Amino acid sequence: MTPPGPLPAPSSPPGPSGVLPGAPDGPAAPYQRLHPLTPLMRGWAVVAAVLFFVARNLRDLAQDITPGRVGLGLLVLVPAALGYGYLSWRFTRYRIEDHQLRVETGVLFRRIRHLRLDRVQSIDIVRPLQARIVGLAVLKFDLAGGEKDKSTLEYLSTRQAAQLRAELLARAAGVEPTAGEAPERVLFRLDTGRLLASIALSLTPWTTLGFAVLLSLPLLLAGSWAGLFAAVPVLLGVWHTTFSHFAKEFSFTVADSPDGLRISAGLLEHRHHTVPPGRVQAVRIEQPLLWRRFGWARVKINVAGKDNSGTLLPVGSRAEALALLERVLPGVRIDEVALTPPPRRARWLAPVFRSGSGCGADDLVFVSRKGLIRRRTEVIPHAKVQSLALTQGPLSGWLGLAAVRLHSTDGPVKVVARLRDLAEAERILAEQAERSRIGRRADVPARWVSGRLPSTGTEQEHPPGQKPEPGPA
Amino acid sequence: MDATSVPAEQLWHALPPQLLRMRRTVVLTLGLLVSAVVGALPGLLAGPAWAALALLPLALTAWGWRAVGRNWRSWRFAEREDDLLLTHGVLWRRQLVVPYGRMQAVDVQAGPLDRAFGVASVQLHTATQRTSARIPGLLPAEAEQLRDTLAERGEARQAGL
Repeated sequence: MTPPGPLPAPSSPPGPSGVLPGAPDGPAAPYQRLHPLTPLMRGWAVVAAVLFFVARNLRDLAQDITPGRVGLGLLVLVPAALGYGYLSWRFTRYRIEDHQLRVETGVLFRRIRHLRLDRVQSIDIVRPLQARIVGLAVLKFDLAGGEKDKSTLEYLSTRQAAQLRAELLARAAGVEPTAGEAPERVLFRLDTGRLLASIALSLTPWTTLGFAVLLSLPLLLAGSWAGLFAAVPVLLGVWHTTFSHFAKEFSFTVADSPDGLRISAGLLEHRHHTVPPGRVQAVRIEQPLLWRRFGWARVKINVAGKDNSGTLLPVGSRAEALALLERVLPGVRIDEVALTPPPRRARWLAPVFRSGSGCGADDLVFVSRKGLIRRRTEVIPHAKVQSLALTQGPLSGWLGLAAVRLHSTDGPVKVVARLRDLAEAERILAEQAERSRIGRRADVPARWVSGRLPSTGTEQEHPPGQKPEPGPA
Repeated sequence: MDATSVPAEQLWHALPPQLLRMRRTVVLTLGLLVSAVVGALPGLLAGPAWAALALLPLALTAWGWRAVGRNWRSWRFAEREDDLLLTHGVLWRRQLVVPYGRMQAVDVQAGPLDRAFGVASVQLHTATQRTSARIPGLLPAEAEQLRDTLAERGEARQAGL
């Protein structure tokens, strides 16, 4: 977090009065303010806090409370809250400077924050329910450096938020920040029927439901309702995998734009975020047993920057999954990567698991597949491997097996080549260390890629040879 | 520090005996303490024969003594040209490769116990927790030197995310 320390009298404090938001201040764009409804949305929180305090101390205060005092209190409180809200709104302003966004906040303690656009991992538009009702949105910046560095602009009108976001992204990408929102092309839109079908065809809700029934049935048969209470946590799990999942993935849309893939979804709270090209660290394709008949798949991704990891495709056809994969990892053909199955003796540790599992690598990526019931294919580009580990437990040690883990950044995807022969695992470890070393050298630095990612040109980023000459240190 | 094209086997570093001494002291102290309590209480309350119960914690202590030794011997690391190798573990073996270019921070830490025995631990951080690379004890001078070389090499080979 940038030190929130009080800054001594800023060189140009916002004019106490009369200074228009557009006061000229250097060559940069004029200052902008948040949406005028912001004080109300924020002041609401202050009033709620006071009410909470009063309610908690109600018993002590009871004898002191008379209608007159309450009226007086409200007379002081409401204007005070509104006044504070107004002041903090009045003193909060932002503007776009060359390669950064300058945000000034604070009534007494001024805080001026410069968000460097080349450090911004992504800019999301979040629309919480209460803001959605009045047409407001929150702009959330995710900075390189994880969760500690989080900044928001709340609240902006939805249109303003979209505009500002587009402009910032355009600047970050080095594109001319003129044309307003970059054009986007919808790549995928989730059909509600299919979402429902995919939930109905998931094993987890059914098994948890079955577990809940098992848990509560004996007591219910005995004529007691207590069993239902025992099942409550389990039923919460069912809720989570069905309704809450539905609300979250509702109208899931992936759109292509020059600043990355735009993902938006949500029934109640509408979330909107962007995955910049080149930021995807690892991909997992899930093919649950019941979905395979329809050829459906789910795609999860790890993205640098805290909140952006997650779902890229909730449920889609194989072609849709592969098309999105091509967008996030250009040039990668996972079907063409030859997978080696684990040795036969691995069946002692995982009789079912072994079928269909294996691992392999080509010039760009390492691929590991596992599982019969919940088949998962994990993909990590060599250039994105953070570190590697070979691990072996007592049982696998006894069988002469080991696992190789290719650590990606934090997120849902873990890439592990399980149950390999020890000698083979050691070879994989050495090879992958070498491949990721070469990949790192060739990889584009962590900057926004301007414009489209042509599928040509990516080949040059990664040397095709597996063992090029060792470069100078 | 020019480790160019030297096979890794020649560069393996082991951990200093001070770490082993520290761990064995801890095991022995705790083990004897527990044994004394377990032996004395039933021995006094229920008859001298019950003091034999102390044999169990004593056996555990002896096993711990050996296990600590084996674990200590299993630790080794090597600074290669582009990455740090780290292996440890006997039953649960782990062999880790951390590229210098991926390191985001290197910490040297020493608690009171560590300082008393003259060791310091070195922890490497990458963009993910999963790396979990920690060398539990080195001589403080070694630790600082390792930190400096790692930081320097990390700087030279810094790669984007």
